[in-house]
Amino acid sequence: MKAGIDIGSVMTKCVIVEGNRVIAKTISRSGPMPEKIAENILQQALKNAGIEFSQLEKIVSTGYGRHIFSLNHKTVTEVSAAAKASFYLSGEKPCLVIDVGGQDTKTIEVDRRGEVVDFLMNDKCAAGTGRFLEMMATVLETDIYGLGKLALSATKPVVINSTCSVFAESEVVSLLAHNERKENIAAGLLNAIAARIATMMSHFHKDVPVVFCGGGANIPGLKESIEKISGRQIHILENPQFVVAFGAAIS
Amino acid sequence: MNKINIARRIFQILSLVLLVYGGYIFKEWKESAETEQSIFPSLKAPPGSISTTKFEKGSILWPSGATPVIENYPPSLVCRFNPKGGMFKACILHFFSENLTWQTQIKYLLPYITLFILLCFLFGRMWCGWVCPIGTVGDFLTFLRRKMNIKVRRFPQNFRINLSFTGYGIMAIALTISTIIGMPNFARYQCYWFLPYCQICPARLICPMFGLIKPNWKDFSTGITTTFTILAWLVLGLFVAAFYFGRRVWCHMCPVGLINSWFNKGAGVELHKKAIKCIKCGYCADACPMGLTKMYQMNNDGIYNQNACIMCFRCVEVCPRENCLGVKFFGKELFRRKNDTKKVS
Amino acid sequence: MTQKKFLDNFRDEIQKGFVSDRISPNNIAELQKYKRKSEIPSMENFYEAIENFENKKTFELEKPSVGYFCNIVPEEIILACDLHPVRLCCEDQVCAQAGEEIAPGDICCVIKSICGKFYGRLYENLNLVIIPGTCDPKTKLAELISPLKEIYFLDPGRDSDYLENAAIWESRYTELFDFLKKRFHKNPGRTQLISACHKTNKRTEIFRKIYQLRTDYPDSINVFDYYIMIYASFFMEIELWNDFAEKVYSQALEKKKTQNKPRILLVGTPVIFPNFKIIDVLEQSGLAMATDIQCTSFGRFFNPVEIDEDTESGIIRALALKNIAGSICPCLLNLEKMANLIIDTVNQYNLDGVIYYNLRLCQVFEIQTAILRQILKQRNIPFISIKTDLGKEDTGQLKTRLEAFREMLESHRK
Ligand code: SF4
Ligand code: SF4
Ligand code: SF4
Ligand code: SF4
Ligand code: SF4
Repeated sequence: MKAGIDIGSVMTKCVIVEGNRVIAKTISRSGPMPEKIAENILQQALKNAGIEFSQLEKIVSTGYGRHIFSLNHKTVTEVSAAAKASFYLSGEKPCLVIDVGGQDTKTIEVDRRGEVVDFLMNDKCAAGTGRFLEMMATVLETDIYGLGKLALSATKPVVINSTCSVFAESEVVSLLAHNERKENIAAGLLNAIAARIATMMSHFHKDVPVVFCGGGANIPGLKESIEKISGRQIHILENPQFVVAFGAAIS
Repeated sequence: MNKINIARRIFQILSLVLLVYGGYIFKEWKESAETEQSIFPSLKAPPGSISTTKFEKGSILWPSGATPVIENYPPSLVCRFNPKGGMFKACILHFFSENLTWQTQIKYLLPYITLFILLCFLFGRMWCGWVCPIGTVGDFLTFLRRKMNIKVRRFPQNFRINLSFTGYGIMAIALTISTIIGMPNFARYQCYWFLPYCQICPARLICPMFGLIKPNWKDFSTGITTTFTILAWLVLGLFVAAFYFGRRVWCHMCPVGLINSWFNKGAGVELHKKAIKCIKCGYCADACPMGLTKMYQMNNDGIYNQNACIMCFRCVEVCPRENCLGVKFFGKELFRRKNDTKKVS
Repeated sequence: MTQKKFLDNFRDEIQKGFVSDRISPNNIAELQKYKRKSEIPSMENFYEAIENFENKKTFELEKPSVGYFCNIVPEEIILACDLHPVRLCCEDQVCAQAGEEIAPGDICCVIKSICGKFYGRLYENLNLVIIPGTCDPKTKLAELISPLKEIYFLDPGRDSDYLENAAIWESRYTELFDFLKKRFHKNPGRTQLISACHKTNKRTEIFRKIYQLRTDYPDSINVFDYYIMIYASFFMEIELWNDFAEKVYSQALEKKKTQNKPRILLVGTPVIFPNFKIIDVLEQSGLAMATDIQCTSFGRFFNPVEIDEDTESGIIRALALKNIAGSICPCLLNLEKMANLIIDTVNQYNLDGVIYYNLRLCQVFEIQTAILRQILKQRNIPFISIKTDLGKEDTGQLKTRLEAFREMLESHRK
């Protein structure tokens, strides 16, 4: 049995697998003491799985906090983990992985041997990441899922030009002041993110299936939005938030 | 200084010595009675040709030479007006001119022509870059200019290449005249018009001086010889200026070089480029004595032998990129910059 | 072009208006950190030189010193006039913050640092500053620091085509040469030019040896030492640098050890001390920088001056070819050359991947990223572009990316 722990900037996830089958998964918000939280959720996962710590053959950590977790045997980066898991989950075929996480957005191209050929990640700032949507959701007085739901009932999405959180925030505020419907604003925000992701996707091969993972995949409407802009079919992997942790566990 | 350049200079000087003083080295020189004859001493018209040429001693074309060591015509400007007999008979233009006049049968000419073409095919215009004594003299003038710190005149590549039309023009006129005076009706003009290009060729004036013999500077006996004398001076002036102010500008118009240049494409020596190595620094174009820019411009791999290229390989040696330019001899790598670290002038 | 005076009438206003007077960046701790990592005893010389330079915050030499930026400015001409050339390019956070005052907003940190250094009075001893019109901010920089220093503006144009521009470059350089002669009352001629070229050619020779060694054994001279040497060459006497570098090379020869890290080609904006963030992260991510294509190192040192015509004008022309036509500066029109160079270097030295390093707000580097990415991708050369600035807060993110890149390269190797 192996454990994969994904210590992200927003969420810490843990998956325990037996062979390639998930037997337990836990999730918790990341906090100021990432190592503590990681240990906690590992314990919890062990409890859920009903096994002892000593039964774990291997613990692999990934995510931003991968180096601070001291119980691990190995670290891998999110990129490799996401690629590994997506390749496995999409039936060992080449694919293009979109991973929208809290702090960054990645697109990863996986070839037919399951290896990363190329990947793109956003730069330093939070523009175009899950964090951006979270901040915008706060402005719209909802949470990130609520924002997605709002977007689904949009009639006429507004155009939001900036994905820089600071500028977008003021843009949203001024739209609200002009009595723009929240639904339309939410859809506009999703479109802005989707457009960025679509641009990233355009750097890769055009004819491989696209899979979507990471916490961002849970946002209702984001997938559709990307599909509309990029014109490509996207398949959301199951339990998208745990995909990376799963990838770590099986690598 | 770079290795190839040094090698080339040495080779040039050795060739000059051999081609100009070969007669002294390989043959015991006798002031034979032959030279006193009033017809061309070394160039007996071959059987089957008609020659009525007679020259007075002291006329413009009076040769100071005797029979050469090798009875042949090399693909570079090796002059028959060398002091006391050179290594080879004369230059190829001389060969064509005299035989057109003499109306020599082709079968007697074939061996010469075959050998000439063979030599050309082997080395292309390397003869110009490495052998020709006149080119060497010119390069010496360039050397003097550099020592005097005088800025080089640069001419655009197209201008330079178009100079060849001048050369072809002169060549055409010279050969036409040679043909016409070969006809029985005009044979009496031979004493004035024989070897028309030799009469204005700078080599005719320069080569005798190697043997400390006064060349036939002037012949004012008739209007025609006066014209030729003055023309010869002008051409010599042009020659000196072309070499002193530019680099090898003369060689774009030299008829001998032009004949040689026909065989440059497809010659055994090949200049080639691996385009991906090129950083477009322009060193090659800037250093090319013939002012050619093709090696710089080309963006594809390939063999780039050009008519005007004298195969001096200066471009190859100044190129700062390992393996970018190279020289092949019948497909075999002859020279290429091998080690990056050694490459500093 | 001649010496320029800008904003002459507003000199007082400008000098009074700015408060960031006398800044004191302190990078000694940083320097010591890298010194400890060094395994080559004679690298000491370079660390010491930098320490002296940083401590005194200025340079005191018998010769008048001339500051300059970019490869476009011919070091050899400055040397020939018996002056001391100092390359002023810098990437320093403290200086950049001070420079905010003069050049605020979305301006690259190099310009900010330079402004900071000038207005912070770190360059008091410079006699003249030669500023090339390579990129737009550099051009305006001439005006920004003109109230403090004597400026010479050198604009060679943006076209790197030899055929069309060689004559223009030659005349620009000749003007500079004449100006320096007049300004400093020197009378150098051909001999001085040639001996200056010999000095830089000697440097090229040593650099090429080091370059070759590092491509084979990237750890023989570690990446920090390498960039420390490059940085030291900015202000050290060239002969001294040559001597020291020769020593480093001979000691490094004994340190050849094969290692298994993926070997990387680092392309992009110059890495200048103290901004070693990218190579720090690179090192930590288990990548080995085998070689680079950057203007301060490769671009500056790799090509020799090839003197064909050894007349004065011929040498000046040769300098123009080396410094402008052969330049890899992205300000000029030479993207094709860049692509060729990257592909060729990767193939020749069997490198595993390319990192395209881009200091934020340097537009000329950034603008060609996507095209290079596509070109290299079609040729199956792994490529990653990193955009970052002087701040350290994204180290974690960079590390993730470079580690992922390493994992990717390692999986390719199998
Ligand atoms: S004078 Fe000129 S054309 Fe005549 S043989 Fe000599 S080199 Fe040839
Ligand atoms: S072209 Fe120049 S080098 Fe060639 S034969 Fe004529 S003079 Fe000699
Ligand atoms: S192209 Fe090269 S070999 Fe030919 S003449 Fe010019 S420099 Fe010499
Ligand atoms: S010298 Fe070499 S690298 Fe430079 S332009 Fe010519 S072929 Fe290209
Ligand atoms: S890349 Fe160009 S502009 Fe930038 S420092 Fe180098 S030479 Fe100057």
